[in-house]
Amino acid sequence: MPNKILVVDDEPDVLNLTKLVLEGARLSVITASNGKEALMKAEADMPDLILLDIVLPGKSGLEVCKILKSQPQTRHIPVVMFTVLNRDVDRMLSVEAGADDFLPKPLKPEDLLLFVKRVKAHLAKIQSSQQL
Amino acid sequence: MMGKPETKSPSSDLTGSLCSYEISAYPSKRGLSVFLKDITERRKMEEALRISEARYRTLFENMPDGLYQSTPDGRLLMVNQVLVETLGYGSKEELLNVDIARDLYVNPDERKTFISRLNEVGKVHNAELVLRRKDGKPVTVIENAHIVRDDKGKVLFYEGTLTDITDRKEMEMELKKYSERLEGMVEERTKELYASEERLRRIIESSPDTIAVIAPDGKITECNQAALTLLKLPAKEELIGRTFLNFVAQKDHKLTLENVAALQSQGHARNFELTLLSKDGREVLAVIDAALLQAKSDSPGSVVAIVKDITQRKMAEAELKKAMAIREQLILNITHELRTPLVSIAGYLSYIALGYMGPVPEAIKGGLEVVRRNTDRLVNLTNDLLDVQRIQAGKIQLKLEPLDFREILDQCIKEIAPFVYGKRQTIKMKVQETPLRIQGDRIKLSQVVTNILSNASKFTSEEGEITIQAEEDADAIKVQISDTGIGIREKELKRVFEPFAVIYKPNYAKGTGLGLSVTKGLVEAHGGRIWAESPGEGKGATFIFILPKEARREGADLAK
Repeated sequence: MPNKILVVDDEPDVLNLTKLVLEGARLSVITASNGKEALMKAEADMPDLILLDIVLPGKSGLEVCKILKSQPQTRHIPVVMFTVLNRDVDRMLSVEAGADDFLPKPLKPEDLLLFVKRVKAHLAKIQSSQQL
Repeated sequence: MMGKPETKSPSSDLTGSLCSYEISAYPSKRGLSVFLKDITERRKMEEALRISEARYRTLFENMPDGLYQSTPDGRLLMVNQVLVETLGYGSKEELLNVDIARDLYVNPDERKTFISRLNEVGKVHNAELVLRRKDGKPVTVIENAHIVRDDKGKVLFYEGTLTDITDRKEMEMELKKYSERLEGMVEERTKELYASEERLRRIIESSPDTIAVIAPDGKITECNQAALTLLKLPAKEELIGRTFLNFVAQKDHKLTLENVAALQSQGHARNFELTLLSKDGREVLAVIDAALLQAKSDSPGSVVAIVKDITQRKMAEAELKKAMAIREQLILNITHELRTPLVSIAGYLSYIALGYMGPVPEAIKGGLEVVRRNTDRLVNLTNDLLDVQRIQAGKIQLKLEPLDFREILDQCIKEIAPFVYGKRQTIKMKVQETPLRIQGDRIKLSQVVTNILSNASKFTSEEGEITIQAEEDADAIKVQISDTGIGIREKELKRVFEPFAVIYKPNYAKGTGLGLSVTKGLVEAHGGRIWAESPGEGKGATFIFILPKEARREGADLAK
């Protein structure tokens, strides 16, 4: 069974593109376009990884991350913050919110491939830790 | 024959002692009558008188003072040699011929005064008067005189001494003059001192900054006019004698005492900011410089403090900070809003170009390339905007690591190579063989080199030349990148580092207008500096930067 990834973004185009790219890499993708929906789907579908945009309408990605990391049933799911603003302060805030990693949104063709690689690396890490 | 008696030399008497006789002989009827008269006694008396006179004369002549006898009608009877000399005459005879009142007095009437005084009390004691010498010069003398009378009380003559005190008088005058000059000098110096003190006082009073002296017990002992303006006080009385701490806001009392302690131990306390309270209850933000007062007149431990009102400046700073924060937020929002669609554009573009959405015909590939290139420009612009904002806000964070700067140069040349060789330009390297080791942020330093290199290529015509030089000294490395391009006008050498500087550029040179501004910020974040040199338009340009081997830790990211 392919790994399931929850992608949270309020931009439908970005959401669709990410879905296309990740599915192209033979991963299963579910999407959410705001924080509330993200929390619901995280609990209902138990994804292997969550790609979470920081700037969202309503609850911000950082708040969503904090909630996920405070709930026993979702705490173990790796959360990768996903943003267009590759700032040090965003990285810092992500770490504070309990995120496991930080990925700038790809802006160049080479970024796109790197992005897929890093997502896969995360999944591999999860699997190896589960096998232990 | 004559009958006058004749005195013969003494001859011996019967006892053998010498006797004097007066012999008189007269012719008479019986011949010659000879009378012998014994005059021995008379002779003895005459001799005694002669000796006494001689003694008196010796005394008279050898007195150090001038002596005289004079008549009431103004003639001199007797003078000694000293007086002759005192009055400048050639001989006693000459002096004895003068009319005292006319010739010896400066003012002839003075003699009358002198005589009337003499007659009144019989003598004159230590009278100072000025006489006239023969040559007309004045001579100051002290006179002592008395009247000599006969048995019946008739005035015989006056007798007196004159002591020449001209030298003493001159000396006294000299002394007086000298002391007057001294007094004058003292007076002048005092005036000068007073003037200079007055000037100092005025300088202190006119100072726009408050100057105050605070005694060791914390009381203000002196202050200038500015202190009153600062605290809105009507008169110095409301400040002098009162405790300084009374004028400091409660919240800053602790800080004040800490600075006082520092002051007593180090002798000074510089640039500490305090909130003071003015009379109308308003807070006055002040910056204070204080030092121990080095004056003998003040008790040890007294302090002189200069207080500057920075309320306005602080308010302006706060305003500026607010404006900067708004600008920062604005740039972030714009960048975010620009990037969000760019993620979609760039992503779909890559996805399509990579063939994930089906094979791409050659004709379309060319169009996609144009879209890609322009997308890159927009992405670069947003990157630069973020960088400039971060640099200006002082929020740039460096990830320092030890590196060999030659590697950065090599890597950047590789990146830029397609552009450079596309214009058939050559790159010359003059870099030392051994590693150029420094502490720095690899990505940010690469950005510096890439920016300069791409500018060099951009502003240099086809087949031009780019030269890279790098060398080190004990503490720093120096990198020089020169081109044979369009050059920079002298007045624009500094402006090229300003964001969006409007500088004449040819059309083909496209950029964000932020590149060099970012470059400068990144070099400075490493504690280095950068500048441009150019012999002028059309003569190429050189960008030089110096980086310290140990980058400043300040602002560096220590977390990772």
